[in-house]
Amino acid sequence: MPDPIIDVSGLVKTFGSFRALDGFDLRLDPGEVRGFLGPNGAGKTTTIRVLLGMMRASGGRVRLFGQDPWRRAVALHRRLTYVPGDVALWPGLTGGQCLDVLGASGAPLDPARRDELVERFDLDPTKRVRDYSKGNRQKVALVAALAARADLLVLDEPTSGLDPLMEEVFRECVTERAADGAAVLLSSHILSEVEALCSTVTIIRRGRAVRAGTVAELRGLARTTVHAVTPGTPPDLDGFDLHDLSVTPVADGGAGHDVTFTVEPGDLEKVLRPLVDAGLTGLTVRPPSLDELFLSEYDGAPA
Amino acid sequence: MTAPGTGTTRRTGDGLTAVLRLQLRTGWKALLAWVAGLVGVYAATVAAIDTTYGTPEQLATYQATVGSDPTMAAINGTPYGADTLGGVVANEFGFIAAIAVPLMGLLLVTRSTRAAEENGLLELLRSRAIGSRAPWSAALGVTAGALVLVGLGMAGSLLAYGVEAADAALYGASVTALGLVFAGVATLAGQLLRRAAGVVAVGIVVLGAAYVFRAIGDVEDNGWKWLSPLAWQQETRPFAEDPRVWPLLLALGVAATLSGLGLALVGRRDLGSAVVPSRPGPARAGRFLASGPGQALRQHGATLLAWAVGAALVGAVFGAFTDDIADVVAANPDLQAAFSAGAAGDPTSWYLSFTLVLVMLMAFGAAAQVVARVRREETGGRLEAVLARSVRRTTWLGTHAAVAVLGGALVALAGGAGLAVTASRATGDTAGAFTAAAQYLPAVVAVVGLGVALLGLLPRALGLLWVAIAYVAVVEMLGETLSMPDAALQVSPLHAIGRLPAEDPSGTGVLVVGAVAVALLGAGLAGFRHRDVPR
Repeated sequence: MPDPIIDVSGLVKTFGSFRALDGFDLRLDPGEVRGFLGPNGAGKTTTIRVLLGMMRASGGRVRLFGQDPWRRAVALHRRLTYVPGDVALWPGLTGGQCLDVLGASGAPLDPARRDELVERFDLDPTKRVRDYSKGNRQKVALVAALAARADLLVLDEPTSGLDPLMEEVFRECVTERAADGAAVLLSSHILSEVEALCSTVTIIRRGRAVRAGTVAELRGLARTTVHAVTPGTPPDLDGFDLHDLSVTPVADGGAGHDVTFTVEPGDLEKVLRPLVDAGLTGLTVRPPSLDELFLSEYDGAPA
Repeated sequence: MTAPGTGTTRRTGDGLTAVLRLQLRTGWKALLAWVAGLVGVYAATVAAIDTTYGTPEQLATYQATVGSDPTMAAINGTPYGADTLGGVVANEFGFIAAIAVPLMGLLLVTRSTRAAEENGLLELLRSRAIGSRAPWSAALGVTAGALVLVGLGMAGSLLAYGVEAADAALYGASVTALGLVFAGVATLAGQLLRRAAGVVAVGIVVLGAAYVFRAIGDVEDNGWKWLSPLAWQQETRPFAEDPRVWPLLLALGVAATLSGLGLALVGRRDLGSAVVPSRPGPARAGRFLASGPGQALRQHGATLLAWAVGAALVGAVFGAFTDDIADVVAANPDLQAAFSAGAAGDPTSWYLSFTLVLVMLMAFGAAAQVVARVRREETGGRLEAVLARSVRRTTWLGTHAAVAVLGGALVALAGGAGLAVTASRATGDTAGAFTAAAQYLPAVVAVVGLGVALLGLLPRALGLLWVAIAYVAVVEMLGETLSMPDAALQVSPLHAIGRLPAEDPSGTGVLVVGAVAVALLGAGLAGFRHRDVPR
């Protein structure tokens, strides 16, 4: 197994008496694209700032490329790029100047890719930052990060303020960079973005990793939603491990019933059999969505 | 991928040159304004003094009158070597140098360090290969470079008028070192406080204390002055019989210590954090805070109160010298002759009017700071949220303008009161200085008016408000020395109203200043009503 790019275990970060990170674990291997999810204030940005050596860990072990990011920040930053969720740039400089300023240190920008990305993101590099919208400021940071020759991309809610078209461009570019072999840590609230881009996911809540694994594993934990319409009284489903079960007479006043519930994917066949035997006039089965799993993790409901 | 996991990274510094270039590119206008402004006014002063006091006899007259005037000692510092061109210039320029050079060091360092950190500008930068110290080292380097240019420019101006090279160089170096001390203050305070405004406030308090200690030391002729960086500059005595280098070394040593401490602390703290942490506050806003005037007062109240306390202290300390000054003047026939020949007559009220100018400049500074903060509401994006509610634009700006006027007035009256209380021992007049401060109030309205006019019509040029206040300071402190034409003097609202309390206020002056102030306010409010927000 290759050495991990990010190796965090038992990370603690306190601000006074407040424990922002409380024994947090995170691992990112070369070439891996990991989604980093969690409710507001769970500790995502704090984690990223510790990883970037901008904040010092209060406890636990943090290794970036096998080294301590607090002490070796400058050297390590030559191998990564970063996009913050709230991009602040110098109001008097133009977007193009900002790209050069950012490219002047750290991972070098690939000039051809820089020009290509300016084009693809439809960015006017001659406009001054004070005249940019939030989305356009975000694009400057994205171009700077995606044009860099880096082994690691750290993205903290990188698409906030982007229109859907630009979000699509962003997804294509991240996919390309991952295909080139770069590892990506993507903190995001947009679940579809995470599902589309990431192979693995870590969910953080109250400073702890409450769930970590591949997207496929998590999908296995998520439940399938079933909506069946029966012509008469539905069969007894008490013997099955169903959640959110509801049985209501259909609205047209007939004898039919609407039956909805969620079930673990492995139990789907067993529970459908009695329903099919009893006869069905309608059936929709929605495959497991990560949304519900994420929401329940965000909520703190026992999974 | 490039050599993953080998752990070998090239050591090519911490991005200092990249940050240096960035700071020069984003800050050259401010750097140029400081250097050109200071050197320009200094060169003009040298030229004017050379014309007025061209002969050794004229210089001797200066030494006998102004050079031994304790009023001057309090305001400008002890006039060492006041029978030479350099000494006379150093004395005449003393006040401007004592305020402007420390502010230059303080503000130039803060704007590209703590202010940038507070605005989030350092976050992306630090994610590149930029070390935590690089922005601070670069800011110190750039500021030191600019201060050296100021020192060189001043020394060059003296050389051009035939002052000895060694004296000119020592003077230039002492000015540079004074600025460096305050660059060091900014570097250290920048680690202790999260907000740039707090760092500047600490620097201004240090400057105020330095000014007061230097004045006490000079008037009472005691050792208190050695607490003051301003005295370290002055006590090099470049133009006296006995120039000294060691106070310069003292200043450089303190500057290096403060900067070094600051740089050591940067490497130990988190980005965006400070040694003094922020505390949680109440969960709800009271009815007062939820109102428009309440918000405005809450925003500016602490700043204005600090200025008012500072002005009262400056007034009280300087007022306490009035006694000594009356004694010295009484013992010096030359000085008495000079005073009775001038328009002012009574030397103590002449002295009081000098001090009152100090107080009024503080009031202007307080009012301008309020206006500058109002502008930041707009550039920071908060104004849009306010105006999106049912808040009239003119009401919003008018409320803040009212707070600026009332706050500026409070500072002026507090300073006047402080001055009146301690000066009354000598003058027997408990109300004079206070009344004079009240008579100057139209000038405060005019300053706020100019600020509001700029906000409404030329918001991106709001920096001109500070230029205007600097201009008033030059007129009041150097106007006669520079033999400025009357029209140029009358632009200063203080000059238009008159030297209070030495002279009676000019009725026309008060009316004109008041009318201009109201016109500016009206134009600014109307302009704000009709322009784009944000702009």
